[in-house]
Amino acid sequence: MKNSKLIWLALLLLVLLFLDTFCIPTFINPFTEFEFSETLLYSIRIPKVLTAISAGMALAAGGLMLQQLFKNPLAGPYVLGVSSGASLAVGMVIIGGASIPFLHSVYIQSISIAVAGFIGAFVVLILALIVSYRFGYSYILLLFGVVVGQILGAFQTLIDYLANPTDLKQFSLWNMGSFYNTIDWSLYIMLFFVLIGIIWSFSLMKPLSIMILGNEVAFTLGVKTKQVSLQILMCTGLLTGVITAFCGPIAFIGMAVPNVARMIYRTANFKKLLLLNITIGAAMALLCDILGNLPIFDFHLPINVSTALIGGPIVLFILLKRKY
Amino acid sequence: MLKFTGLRIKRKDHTLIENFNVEVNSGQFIVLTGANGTGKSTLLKTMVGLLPVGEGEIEINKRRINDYTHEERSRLIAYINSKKIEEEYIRVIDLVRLGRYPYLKVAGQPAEVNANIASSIKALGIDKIQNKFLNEISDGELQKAAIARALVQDTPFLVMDEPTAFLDYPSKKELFHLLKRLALEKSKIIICATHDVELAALYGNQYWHLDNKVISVSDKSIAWTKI
Repeated sequence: MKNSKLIWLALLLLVLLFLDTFCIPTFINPFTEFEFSETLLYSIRIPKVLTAISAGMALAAGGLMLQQLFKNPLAGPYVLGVSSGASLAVGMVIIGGASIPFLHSVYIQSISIAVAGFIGAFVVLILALIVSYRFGYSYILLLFGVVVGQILGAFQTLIDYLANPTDLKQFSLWNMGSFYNTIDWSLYIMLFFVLIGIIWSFSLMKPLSIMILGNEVAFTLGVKTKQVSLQILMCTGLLTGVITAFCGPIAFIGMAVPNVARMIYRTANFKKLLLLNITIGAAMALLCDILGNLPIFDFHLPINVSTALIGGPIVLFILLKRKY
Repeated sequence: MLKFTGLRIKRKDHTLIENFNVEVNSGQFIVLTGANGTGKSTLLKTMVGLLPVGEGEIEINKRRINDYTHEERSRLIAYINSKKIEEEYIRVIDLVRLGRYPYLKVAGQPAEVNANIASSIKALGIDKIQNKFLNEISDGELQKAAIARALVQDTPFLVMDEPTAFLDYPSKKELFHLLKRLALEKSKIIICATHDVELAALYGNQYWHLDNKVISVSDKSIAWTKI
């Protein structure tokens, strides 16, 4: 591997990490002993940076796995409809839960949102697993995801329509994605599941690289193709579900990062490819947060605005560059 | 040694092949012909374990194929089909190297493995393009790389489903010649389904022709005269 590329990438990641921790949105001098800046650092900046990195890594890993599984460069963690499931469930908690006094405490509400996001994502994932059991891992599963996403979106619109403006605003904000929702316990839970998901995805890389040859040929080489495909779906569901539950549905990173990685470095060694993907994913998430919170603006861009502004053109570029 | 006893192959409720009995010794290049949709691919897929053996038995070295583990089978039978590989971003040599997957846990001598890879690439005549990416080569070259991948798998049995589909005439001829030589020199059993009946007649040393649910086996190329 041209290690120089990986070293440059690691350096870039470190610079972004430093910038996002100490300079965005305001500068903290790490060498002064000022209690306020220390609190800011430990209770806001570091959790934010860890959340952004986790989200970037998880979504990039999920995107890579799905793109390889479906042999489709436009697949992403959201094509399975997983995020729509999470959105609807969260929408029901925020908007439908407004009438339940129990949910009025901010603390309980944030737990319920995370749990609902997780459950919503997994219900759709289980539906996708049932479909894949019946039809295999073909375009039918992708179409299923798109259609389920549309149907759930319709229910979503209905709930939005019936909601009162305050709840609607809160839900809209959740839908725009944020790296600032993780407070102490939820940060640890998220880090724990992302770590499991990433380790799991590394273990799937070798058989996934054999599946380049087509599933039937891979099977005759000793790859348990059905089991591997199922695990990829579950692992992607876990990673996407966790991130959606804690950060909201974050667009474009999962679809764009694997394509950027392919442009930078082409390899048959999928473990290196995954490493590259999660590094770029983390860097892109940090970059999005930095661009969305530049001190030159007097407002903060929601994360999905910056991911779309950066990721959208990348995806378009890849689409138009392909020769058919 | 490969043996079929009373094999019956069905797809859904519809019988494709009935009562197939044959015994093949090593060193044979078998050519399988027959019209589209008669069940050639289904037979080959059953042999490599992609489809279950329904009625009857397929035995390899006096053991039923279902009694081998999935891993054991991957070191016994290599399989190629004519489906195009859709990956674009890896090098030819890396594609060929994937054929070593069944041996990852039994790691051989690296020098020996590399020699095996190099000779397979050379045998298919793709040594000049081995460092190119898959999106830079032609469909025919891609198919040659896929065949080299199967040779690298280094198995006594080679099952090929229309491997010549994308090749030009000279390449087809070379491939058939190579397969016949491989079968003889390395005492492999190679079964190749094809529609290139003239070449099959020239190079095969056993002919299976599938027509109307029956496979007729012969040592001479009478099969192609029927078509």
